[in-house]
Amino acid sequence: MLDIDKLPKPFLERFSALLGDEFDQFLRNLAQPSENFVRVNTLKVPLKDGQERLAEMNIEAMPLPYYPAGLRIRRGHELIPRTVDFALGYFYIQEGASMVPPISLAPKPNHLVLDLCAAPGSKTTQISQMMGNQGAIIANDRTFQRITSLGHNLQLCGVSNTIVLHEDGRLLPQSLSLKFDRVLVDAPCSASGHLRGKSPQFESPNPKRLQGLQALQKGLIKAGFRLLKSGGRLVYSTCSLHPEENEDVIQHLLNQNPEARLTKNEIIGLASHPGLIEWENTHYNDMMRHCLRVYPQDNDTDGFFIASIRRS
Amino acid sequence: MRSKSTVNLVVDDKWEKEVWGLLHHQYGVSQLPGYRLLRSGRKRIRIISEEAFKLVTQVPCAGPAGLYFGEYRPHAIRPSMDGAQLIGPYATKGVVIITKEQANNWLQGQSIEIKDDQHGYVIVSDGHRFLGCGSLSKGVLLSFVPKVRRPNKQ
Repeated sequence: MLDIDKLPKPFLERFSALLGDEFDQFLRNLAQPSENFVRVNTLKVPLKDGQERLAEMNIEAMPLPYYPAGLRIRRGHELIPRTVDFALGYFYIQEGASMVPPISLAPKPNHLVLDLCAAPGSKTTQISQMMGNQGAIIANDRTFQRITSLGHNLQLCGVSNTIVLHEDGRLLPQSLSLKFDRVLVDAPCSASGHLRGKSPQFESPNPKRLQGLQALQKGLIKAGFRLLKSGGRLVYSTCSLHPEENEDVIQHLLNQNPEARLTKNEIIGLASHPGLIEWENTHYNDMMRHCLRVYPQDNDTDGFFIASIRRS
Repeated sequence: MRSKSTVNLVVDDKWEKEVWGLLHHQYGVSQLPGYRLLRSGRKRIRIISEEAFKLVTQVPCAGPAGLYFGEYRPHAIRPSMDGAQLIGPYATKGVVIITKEQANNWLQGQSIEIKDDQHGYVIVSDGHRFLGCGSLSKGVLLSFVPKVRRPNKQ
């Protein structure tokens, strides 16, 4: 469990500035053990059957208000990986907030979807589930070891509408001649939203590391946008709450691409905060309020940032 | 049409027909609408949705595509765990039903004895779910459940 007294001072100062009145609530939430979630893999088992199977095994599960196939496990989560149903791929362990970007992406069964940073495949398998294994997904990742876990999870979940690529996402527009209806850029990040259940040795990322990550994130979102069809939707997400990895990156895209438009991101049942309009003397585009900042105290999940962008 | 699309994925209509023919012979499944088959290497079969199939030849340096469906063995198809789950609901033959207790042992990789005079690769079910594929000979059902997919006992 995270010892909040041992959090670095710069981290505390930063989140106090970000959260204002809610800072104490945020800290109290971080001190709690992490919650457990699973997704019912409706590619293999109908949702109702999945819920009933958990109940039969005396596992108490509550559907997430924003995504019925996502379940918060109240009791018996340790039993799930030992079940036959889990071995068959009926359930997939996935953090509650990590299910939000695919919801925001809203893929349709006839869509061509690009998941630019796909490994280990939690969101790819969820997207495929939302598409009913129809249409097509190009799932890319540049890390070879992570491609292995991506392949394993696609197989486990029974995903058959995906082609896996192993490329640097930033270079993909040079080798792919396709244009996509939906692009997910779930970018590598400092994971500053993923704090609950962490060891007390947590260290705040130094500015140099944030700079490096930001350069990568800007490159990825730029590549993703280049591969987006006119009228298509790109979702950018990170499990970080640092504005440098989020609003800064979105602003960079908006500055470079006049045809990029931030769109409203309403997800019924999900509590969230709007994106920042201002941070440390930087003023962002007013439409940045359409982005979602999901803080741990909002839904009792990890923190996440999600932006939905349309190419006009 | 027969074209090599990627490093080791092959689109081969004639071969695909042959595989469906064997699946029909073994399990009574002559096609799954909306799916196509790809050859990976010499023996491995991958199953892929129709729309994704159309892209296989357009995407450079593609890695794995679709789902690992099974192996093309001499005169028979040996479905993977997920391939068996996919065709199981449509199978009209080549299915054996085992008890819950037998299923627990079989999923741990153990061979089990059953009263069934079928022979060859069969789809295994516990009556509620399709569990995978086994080889049945003289009443002994061998398990092909990969180690990584066996339910964790601890």
